[in-house]
Formats: sequence, structure tokens, C-alpha cells
Amino acid sequence: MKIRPIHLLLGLSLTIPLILVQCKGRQSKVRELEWPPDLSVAVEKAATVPYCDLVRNPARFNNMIVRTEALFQKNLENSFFSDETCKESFTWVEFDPAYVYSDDALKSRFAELTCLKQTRCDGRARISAVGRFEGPDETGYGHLGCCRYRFSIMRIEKAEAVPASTPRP
Amino acid sequence: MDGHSVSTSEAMFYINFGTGTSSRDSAGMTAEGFANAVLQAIGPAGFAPAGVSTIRINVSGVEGAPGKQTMEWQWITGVQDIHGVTQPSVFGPVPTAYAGTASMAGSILTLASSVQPRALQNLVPNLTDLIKINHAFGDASGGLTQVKGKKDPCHDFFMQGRSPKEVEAIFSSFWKSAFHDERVAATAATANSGQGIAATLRLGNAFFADDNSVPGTGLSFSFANNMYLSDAYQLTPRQNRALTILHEFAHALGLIPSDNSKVDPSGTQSAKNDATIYEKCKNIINSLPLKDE
Repeated sequence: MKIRPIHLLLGLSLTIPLILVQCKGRQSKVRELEWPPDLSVAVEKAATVPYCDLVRNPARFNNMIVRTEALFQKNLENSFFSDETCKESFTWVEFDPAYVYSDDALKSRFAELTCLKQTRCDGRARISAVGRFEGPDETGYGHLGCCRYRFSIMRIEKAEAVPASTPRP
Repeated sequence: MDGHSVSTSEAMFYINFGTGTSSRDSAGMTAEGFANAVLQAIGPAGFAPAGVSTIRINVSGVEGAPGKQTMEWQWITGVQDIHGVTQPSVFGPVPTAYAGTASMAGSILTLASSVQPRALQNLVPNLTDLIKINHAFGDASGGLTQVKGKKDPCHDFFMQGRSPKEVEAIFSSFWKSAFHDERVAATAATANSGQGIAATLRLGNAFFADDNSVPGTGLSFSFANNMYLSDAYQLTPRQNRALTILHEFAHALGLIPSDNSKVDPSGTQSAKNDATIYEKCKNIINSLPLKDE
């Protein structure tokens, strides 16, 4: 059968909206889970604190939900924050259960940049995140008690690739 | 009072009542009396949609029986992990905001107009994960067992300064401590290293990856072998997990240098430790069953 342009146009006009509806449906799947109201407010209103301020004044921020930006690194056994201007302290990074509510596209980008799903892989990214800061703990958080501080990511707000030239801590 | 939607097809309503030691509250009201008071205050329409003539309220739920706690169970479906991957359905306890011995709010709160979906407060361990953990430890235990009359570098490495019985006890304790912790971003994290029986292990999502259906798992399909293999050492996911367990167990015994972020932020020592373990134990790792099924 010969396909006429009108058939093609008609087919496309029916197919494209269907694809769009399907894509929209997939995107909204996770967002159907609404943030618990109290938690949502806490995350929205979290104070922005430079990472070095957190580790230099831990008592002031212990157990607080804050927004910060730092270099995130991950390998087989470690996942931690660091910053060039305060090399003295690393912070063990974990995911708070509330992380599930973060934007899907950002979560995927973050996972891709830092090879989160890969067993033996070194990855890093500069991220901005809201989460709970804890510490200091003298026995140490994380693998082999690496870190005096812990940051549990509740929401990721930015994940950027780090140039290969950026020095490692 | 707490209302949950446990799935789109199974909506439940619960009245949590009692003190845990008595089926009456502190004012002497019974659970039945409390249910009737709620019904009268709100009206049956508050519990039943239009067209429904019969409603059933179970008042013998959590803490309903003196001195006993009742667990309610549900199917948990469609749950996504923190990376957005939908997990298999599991049968687990119904979460409650009033678990334990904490007092409930003393007044009747406004009920939701319809049952609201909620994020799950507690998840039961995934059976598939448990199988993988048990296989990984079971496989790794082969590295600690010496074949009679044969020189075994893996066995010798792990027995340094300890009796087989002591190593066995520490390994057993380490195994019991291990669990899938979705909070962990790394593949594995050992606590209390070098402290033998006090050492514990948490395993992150990457530990459980089996194929490359989720991008970035570091697994590639080998057409020659008709299976997924890791980029490092060309191991199957199951063999890879056994290597990870042996690596972490070596930390528990204090047999390999620290590779935490404080002393090894670049991760080079971690890779060296992997190489040490693989060199000593490659015979057992390479001979392991290829898959978990």
C-alpha cells in the first residue's frame, strides 16, 4: 500500500501526544509520593552553610538540616565530602530515606557522574545538597571510622562534573 | 489513629488502642467503646464510600490485647529505591507512627477525606538481597577452609596469628552483622575494623548489581561466556561479591592497610587491597558458582 503524506501526518499527530503522555506519566511516578509536610518545610527552609563552616564549627550545626556544596567522592568503600579550602576534614556521606523524593533526572545524573551503582569505580562530582549534618563523633562515621562528621543527603539540588584537572584531596 | 494506603488495591484502616498492658485506656474505656465513640462522632459515612452498606472496623489490632503486641502485615508494591529502581513486591509489617510504647495523641484527629498514600516508614529485607548476601559469605567462607594436604594461600592469609576456630567465630559474627543498607553510597563499609568479633558490615546498592540493566554498574556482557562480567578481574557478579566480602573480612581482622577516605582519599589503597585479596584467593574465587540461582 502506498503511504500518502496525509496518512503520515495523521499518524504522527496521534502518536506524538501518546508518547508525551507516556513520558509525563513516567516522570510523575516518584513525585506521586509527596513529601511529609514537616520534612518538606525543613528542607525548603534549610540554611545555606558553606561546607568549610560546617566542619570548622561542627557544634553549631550538629544535627541540623542544612544546604551545602562540596566535592563528593565515591569508591568501593568510601563516599565523602571534601573541599580544597578545608582539607583537614572529610565528611562521610550517606543517603537519608527522604532522598527518594529528589528529582529523578538529578538523581540519575548524580549516579552517573559518581558511578554510584558500580562496585569498583572511583567517581566524583561537585554537588549541592540539603541534608542532616552530624558530628563530631570521635569513634568516626563510615568505613573504618574514617570521618568525624556525617552528612545524610535528603535532597540533591545540583550535580556537576568535576574537571579531570581538579586535584584529589 | 492512623490511616494508610498500602497499595492501590488494598486499603486498610486501623485503630491503635490500648496501653500495651491493658485493652482499656487510662480512663477505663474499652476498644469497642472507643470505636463506637469514633463512629458516632464522625458518622458511618466517614468510613464508607457511597453505595457501601456495611463497614467493618477491627478493634483488636495493635496493642488491643493485654500484654501483647499485634503485627499487621501488608504487601508492599511498587517501591522504588533511592535511585528510582522499582523493587520487587515484599510482604512486610504495616508501619505505624505509634509503634513501641509511646503514648498516642489523646484526642480524635480529623480523618483524611480519603486514604492517603504514604511513604513507607520501614521496609523488610528483600529476599533476593538476603540470598546474595548469604551466597557471598558462603562463597567467601570457602577461602577460609583449607583442603587437607594442600597449600592454600587464601586460608594461610586469613589465619595469620589466629586459630581456625577464632577466625570462624569472627566470620560468623561478621556475616550476621551484614545487611543491605540503602543509605550507604559506597559498595561496602566496615565498622570496628581490626576488632574481630565487634566488626560489622553494611552493604550499599552497588553490591547487589547483577547486570547492566541499570546504567553504570560496571558490568559488561561477555558474549564469549554468555554472562555479565565485572570490568575488574572479569568476575561474575557473584564472584565479585565474594571478593568484596573477603576484602572486608580482611579489614575486620586487621590484615590489610586502612583504605578509608582519611588515609586513602584517592582510593588507590582500596584497589591495592583488592589486588592482595584476589592474588591470595583467586583459586577459590574463580572456581565459585557463576550465578546466584
